[in-house]
Amino acid sequence: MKFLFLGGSGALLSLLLYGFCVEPYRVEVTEVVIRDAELSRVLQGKVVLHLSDLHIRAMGRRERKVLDIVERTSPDFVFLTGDYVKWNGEYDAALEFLSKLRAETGVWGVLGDADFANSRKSCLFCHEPGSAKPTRKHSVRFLMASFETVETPGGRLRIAGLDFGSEESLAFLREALDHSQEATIVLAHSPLVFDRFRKEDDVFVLAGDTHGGQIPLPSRLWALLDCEKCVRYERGLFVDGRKKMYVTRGVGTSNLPLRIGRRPEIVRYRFEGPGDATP
Amino acid sequence: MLLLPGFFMAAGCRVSSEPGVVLLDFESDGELDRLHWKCGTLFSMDAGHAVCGEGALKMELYPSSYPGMSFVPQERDWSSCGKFCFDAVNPSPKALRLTVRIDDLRESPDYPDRYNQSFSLDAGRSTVCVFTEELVTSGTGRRLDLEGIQRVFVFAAGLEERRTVYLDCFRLE
Repeated sequence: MKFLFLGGSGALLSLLLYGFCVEPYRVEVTEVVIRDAELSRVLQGKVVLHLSDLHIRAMGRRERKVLDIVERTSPDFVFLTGDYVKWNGEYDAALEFLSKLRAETGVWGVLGDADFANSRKSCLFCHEPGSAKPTRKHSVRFLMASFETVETPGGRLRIAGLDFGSEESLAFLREALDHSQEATIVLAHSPLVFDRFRKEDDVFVLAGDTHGGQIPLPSRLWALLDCEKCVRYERGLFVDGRKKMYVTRGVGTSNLPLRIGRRPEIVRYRFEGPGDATP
Repeated sequence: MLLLPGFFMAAGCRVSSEPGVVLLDFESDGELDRLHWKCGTLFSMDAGHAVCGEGALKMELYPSSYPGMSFVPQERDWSSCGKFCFDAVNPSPKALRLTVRIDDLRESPDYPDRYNQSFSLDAGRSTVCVFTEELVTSGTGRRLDLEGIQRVFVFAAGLEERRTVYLDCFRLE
C-alpha cells in the first residue's frame, strides 16, 4: 500500500513537473489542410502561419524558439489572433517580440482580452506613446474592425480583423461580407464569433483564446467551470456549411503556467482546392 | 440657456442638500487609467482648461463611429444624489454634438435598455447636468437602478472631422 502511494505520488509529481517545466516550451508546428477553392487559388504556394495567445512576460526561451521557427519557415503571411501579454502585465516584451516578426507579404493581427486588460497600454500596439501617430516599434498591421485587401498572383485576399467583444465590429464585418466576392480570412480572438456567421458565409476564421484548454478535461467539467468556448470550440478545425474556423492551442499560458497534452503550437496552413490530390 | 430633455445648464440646477461626490476630477495622470481607451480617441491631461482644481481631461476625437470616453464610477449608488454633472470646454467656435449614455446593467445593454441623451456643446465652457430622477432608458422607458450604476459614457456619434473637447469634474450633487 505504501509503495502504491509513493508510486502514485511520484507519478503525479513527474506529471506536474513535465506540465510546468517541459511541455509549455515544446513548441511544435502543426500543419493544417484547409479545403477551399478560393483560398487555395489565392494562397497557392504561400506559407501562411498562425500564432496566438503568446502571453509574453519576458523574452524567454519559448519566445526565442517561436521567433526562430518563424524565421526558418520564411512565411509569406503571419496571422496573429491576440493575447500577446499576461493579464495586467507589461507590454514592452510583447512589443519587442512583435518587432522581430517578419513575413514576406506581411503580418496582420487582432488584440485579445488580455491585451485590453490595461486599455491605456493597449494603444501601444498601434501608436507611439501618448500620441495618435502609428508606432514605429513593429510592422504588424492590427485590424480593429477593419480589413485590408492583398493582391497575390492567384487573386485578391481580404484579411479582416474583429475588435474583441465588439458587436459593432461584427456588424461591420457582416456588411463587408455581404458586398464581397473575395476570398476572406477573418482574424478573431474568441472562437465564439463563429456562431455569428451564417452557414453560407464563405469565410475562414482564425481564432485562439482557449489554449486548447491547456490540459485535457471533459466537456462537462469545462461547462462546470463556465468555459463555453472550451466546451464548444476547444481546439482544431470546425466546418459548418461554407464557413470554417481553426482554433489554435496557442503558444503561451494563462492562469497556471501548465500544459499537459496540449503542446504550444504554431499553425501552418496548406490550402487545397476540391480537386487537389492529397499525399 | 439650452434646455434639452434630461439636460440643462448649471445655472438652472436645483442644488441638492446631499454633499457632492466627485467621480473624476483629473487631478492626477493616474485617473486616465480609469478611462476605457479605445481606437479613435486620445486622452491626455490638460492644465489650461481646468474648471475645478488644476487639471482637466483633454479628449481628442478622431473621425470614427463613436469616439469618446467611458468609465466605471467608483460610486455606484446614485440614489441619494439629485443630479449627475460634468464641465466641458469646447475650444472651437463650432458646436460639438455629444451623447451621454448611462448603463445600469452589467452586460453592455442595447440602445433601448440604457439611458441615452445627446446635446450640443457651444463654444466655450458649459456645465452639463442630468437629474437622476430623469434617468430613464430610451426604448423601454424603464427607470435606471440608481443603486447600481455600472458605466458612464460621453461620446460623439459618426464624427467626420477631428475635434477636441476638455472635460472636468464629473460629479454627483
